[in-house]
Amino acid sequence: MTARSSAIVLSNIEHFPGYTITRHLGLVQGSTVRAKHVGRDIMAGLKNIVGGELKGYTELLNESRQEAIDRMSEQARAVGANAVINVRFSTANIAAGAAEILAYGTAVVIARGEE
Amino acid sequence: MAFDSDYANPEVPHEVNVSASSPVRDFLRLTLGLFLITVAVTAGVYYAARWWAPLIPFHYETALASTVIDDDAPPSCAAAGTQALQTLAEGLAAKMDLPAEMSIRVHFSSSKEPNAFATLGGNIVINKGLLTSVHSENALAMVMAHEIGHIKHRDPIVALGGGVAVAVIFSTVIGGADGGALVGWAIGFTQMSFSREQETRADRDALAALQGYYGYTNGADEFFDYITREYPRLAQMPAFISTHPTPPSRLQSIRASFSAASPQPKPLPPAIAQLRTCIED
Amino acid sequence: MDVLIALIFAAILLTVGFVFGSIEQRRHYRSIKQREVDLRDILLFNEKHPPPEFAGQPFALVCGSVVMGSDHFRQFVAGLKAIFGGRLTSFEAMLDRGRREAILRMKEEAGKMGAKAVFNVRMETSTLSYSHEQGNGKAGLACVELVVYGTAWCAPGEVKPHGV
Repeated sequence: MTARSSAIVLSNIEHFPGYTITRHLGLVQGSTVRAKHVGRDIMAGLKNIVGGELKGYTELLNESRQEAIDRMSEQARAVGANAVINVRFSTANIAAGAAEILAYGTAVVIARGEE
Repeated sequence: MAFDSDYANPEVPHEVNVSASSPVRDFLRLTLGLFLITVAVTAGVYYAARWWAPLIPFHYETALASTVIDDDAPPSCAAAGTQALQTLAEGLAAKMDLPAEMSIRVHFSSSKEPNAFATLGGNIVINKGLLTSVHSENALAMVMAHEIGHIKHRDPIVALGGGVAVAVIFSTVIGGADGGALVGWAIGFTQMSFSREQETRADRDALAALQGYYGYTNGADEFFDYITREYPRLAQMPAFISTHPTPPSRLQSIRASFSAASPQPKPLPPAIAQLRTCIED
Repeated sequence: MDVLIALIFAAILLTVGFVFGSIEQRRHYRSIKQREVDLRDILLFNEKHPPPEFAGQPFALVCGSVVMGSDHFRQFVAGLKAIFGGRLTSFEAMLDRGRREAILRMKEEAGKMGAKAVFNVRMETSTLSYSHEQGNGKAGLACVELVVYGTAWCAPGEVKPHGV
């Protein structure tokens, strides 16, 4: 059902019409703590005079989220899943200038077709 | 059930989540409000501090004064003169019913400005400029007794209380003024000016002291007469702008106390007169 | 004198913040409205159950995010307002356009995989603090991340560049 056997399908819903979940393999998670570097901080400080999007931070958090997803997928792959369902994200400020991005979900084996 | 006919995303009114109010109007309204509140709070704290300040025991005031007023020995040429000033001040103070713990200390300053001022802790500073502009001891005694009057009524600490209150509020609002600057600012406040009521009261006390010390008040007007002649602009200042009673009205009230048959004012004692030539080394 | 310089500096910052912040806000809203029209075909729901029509179609997690800061002037006004309480209207626009921008980015991602609709859309708002504000004890600058995510589904018969 996937082009590459290693690609993990992600979703934040639990019921998939036209699909059957054949095995539930438990909770998998991926997280990363990233700190912004000084240059970005200073740029963001300058940008904050004018307001609007702080692009440096958007990119940073996107990279972090992608990394958290990749790590979660790696766990899923390790347990023999081909999908992670009911994915949730959470972001927390750990310290000044450092944010943790967490992604978690349930690793499953999913196949096309009704039971 | 068909997706295309049953599911849709019609346009939603996004504006409901954003108020139409202009931030500039908010800014002006809030700034004005905050300003008025600050003024009201400052005024409240200012008057509260002035009311409360005289309740501070005088020995605290003396201790505070000793930390900010440098008590150097006078220059050698002024030693005898300063002692004579101190004797005169003590003689006057004896007639003024000072509280028991209150003591007066006179300092000589070689400043050419014709002035004298009372400050914290019973300290009085007499400028050289004052001595060069009067000829009689009575005129000098009038100014000195006036300053002792301020001390008796705790006017310097009242001014300091108000000054500290205003300085604290300002540094809170503006933020960043350091403690040292704050104290300096507040002390400066005590030397600025006293209220008109305080000045009038000090004048009244001074005339009573002169009456008690010399038996008459004649000659007490000399310094104010001099100020009126030398600084006519100051004299013309309307009374409600200047906190000091204007010299003309002061002169009137001083002269009203004169008696017709009284001796000529005393000349300045030689030790004090000698201060006029003293140059600080 | 120092106080005066600080005041002038603050006034310049406020003015620059207001003028450029307003220009940038107007430009951003124009872009948001245009893209909302362009992406109207992708539908959003936060229901958890896609209709049976989508049975067996490819799906994938899609996500849009943006970090928004308030301009200096609106930040200052909000600070003043916070003394008295009440609605912080000057932050409303920042959050509104940030959230709509994040939704648009999610829609763009869904569009790339040829999705028809996104189900179980979730929105999250988190505040970010950054280091230099802790240093000098300044009031925290408003800086928020808005994240929107959901599961995008392709409709039957549509191209599927990737997916299940």
